[in-house]
Amino acid sequence: MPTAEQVRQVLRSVLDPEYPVSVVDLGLVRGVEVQGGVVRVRLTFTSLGCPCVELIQEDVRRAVLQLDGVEDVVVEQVFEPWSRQHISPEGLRRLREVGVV
Amino acid sequence: MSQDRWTESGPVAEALGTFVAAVADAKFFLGRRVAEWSVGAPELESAVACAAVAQEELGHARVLYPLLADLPLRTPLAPLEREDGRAVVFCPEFLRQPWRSWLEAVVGLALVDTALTVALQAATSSAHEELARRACRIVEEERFHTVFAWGRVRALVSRLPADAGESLIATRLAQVLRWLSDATAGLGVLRAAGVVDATGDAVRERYLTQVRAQLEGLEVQIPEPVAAG
Amino acid sequence: MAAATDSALLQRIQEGRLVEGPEHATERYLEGLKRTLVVSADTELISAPAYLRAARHAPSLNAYVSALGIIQDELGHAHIAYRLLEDLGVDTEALVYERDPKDFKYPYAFDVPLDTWTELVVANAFYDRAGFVLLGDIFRHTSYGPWKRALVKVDREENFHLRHGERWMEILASDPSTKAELQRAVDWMFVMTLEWFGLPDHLKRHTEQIEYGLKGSTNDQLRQQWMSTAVPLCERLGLRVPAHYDPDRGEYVIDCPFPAEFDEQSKRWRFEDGPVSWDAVLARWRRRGPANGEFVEQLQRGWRQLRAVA
Repeated sequence: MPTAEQVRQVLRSVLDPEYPVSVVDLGLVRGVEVQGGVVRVRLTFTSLGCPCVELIQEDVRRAVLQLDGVEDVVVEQVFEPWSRQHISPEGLRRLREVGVV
Repeated sequence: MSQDRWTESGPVAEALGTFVAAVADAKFFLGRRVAEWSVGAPELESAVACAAVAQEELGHARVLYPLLADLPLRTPLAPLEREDGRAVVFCPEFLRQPWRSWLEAVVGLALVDTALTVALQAATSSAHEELARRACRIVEEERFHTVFAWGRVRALVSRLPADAGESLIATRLAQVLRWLSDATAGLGVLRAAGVVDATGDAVRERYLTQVRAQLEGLEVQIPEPVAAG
Repeated sequence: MAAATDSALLQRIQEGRLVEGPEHATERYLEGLKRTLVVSADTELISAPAYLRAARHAPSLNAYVSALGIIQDELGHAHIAYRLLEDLGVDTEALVYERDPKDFKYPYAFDVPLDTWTELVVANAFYDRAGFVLLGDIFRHTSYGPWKRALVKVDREENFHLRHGERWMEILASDPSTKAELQRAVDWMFVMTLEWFGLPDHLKRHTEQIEYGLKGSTNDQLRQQWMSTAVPLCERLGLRVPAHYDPDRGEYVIDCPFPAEFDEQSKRWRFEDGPVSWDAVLARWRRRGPANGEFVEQLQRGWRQLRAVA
């Protein structure tokens, strides 16, 4: 069974479909819980109208399912605020590279 | 007074169902109509903005609909996935058909969107936490919509012969008020249950205050709306 | 406005330094650059009405929102390209809102209306891939600095469009009842995209455009590049396409008469008539296809309404 930190680590490989920044660095991951073989990931989105909601949820699920001992992944959408302040320094650096910020 | 009364079938659940369905359906159809003007807006900046605003309106409907599934309603209300997805829908009638002019589009967006935001503001500190969280995030996202919509109304009405914009605004405002009256009819019950913090009358008054403030800058005379109901 | 000599311009490009404005360019270079930019801008712009028309049939709210996100991106990309044209002194308001529909420079493919959600997602997987290949080539090779910098963002967003198209093609291919319709869309849209890349190299070499850094690869090279990902995608999903990889030649080979005549009414290639000349194809492109007038009219309607009353 993975630790929450291992789950977060694997989520660093899940990139936003439009920008080469992981969902962690983009500030979308708002909680990880591991209980038995079930991993619960809480996500917020940059906008409620985000066109990539399904893609991101599927990518998160697929990535976490690859970890040993994970039987199920529950992706829960929370509605916490998101703004540029939630992007990590590494995320900001990558976004600057591709000319987004 | 139990704060969970929407979990039992009865007047609170029914009133909440009516309110959420009306707001979500209106956002769904508003999104579809505004999306159509992402092709045809008179400048590309507005075209891009229409596409962005439409996605958010539809996104708001998308997060509100699941609340209906959790309510023990006498007649269950399915989320709209397509325009023809349900026999009965609860949005202003003029949202059901494509808007033929850019004037209709910006007036429709400004008047409907403002009504929806005012309605949801009444739920931002709701005892129903799922509703409160969504309402807060939606109201936050609406700031840009308000600036865009009323900015376009102002730009347009100043270019048009005075009566063109004025008569459409008056007609649409009356239609939105009639719809808002139905949508917020149960707010008294919901207020008593801590689900919202305003009555239907208060919401309509706030709405009119905001619309008047936006229109004052335009120097468009708006007839006093006939009392709803 | 152009202020450089041809030799100074060529030297600049050969040294790998970018052209930053008319002061570094010749009149001839600027004309070529504008032509290329207009094609790119028009193509992004026309995809909006083409995609919106089909998005009405989206099977779910999520699907519609995704389609709208793509339309927003396309409009944004068009806006970027028209802005670059404006900076070069072009009256883009007239270009977008007053031009005759037949004078738009986008590929013929967009004149054939997309009628279903299935055709829309195949367009995302095929047409947006063609755009991705063409813009990627310009991004890597353009000698015009402002365009190169603008394309970084475009490239990433097109990546989402491709994934959206592929994801939905996977969903539709997994059910026999939707797979048949998917195959029918692939049948006409695959060859339509092959044609998009234009005249083969033996009929038109783009040596000048390549020398001046207006494009990096030839039409045939770009067509190959498109097939190198589009064909494996279709093979993986069990969809038939009239092309395969020939290991001996080290390239993809087209297995149908090409180019061919297209029946616009039934959306079917008339392979039974055999290959036609590229002159016949160019004539069809010049006539434009069924949706040309409708799409351009839709794009221009708000602007026309305002002009009528103001």
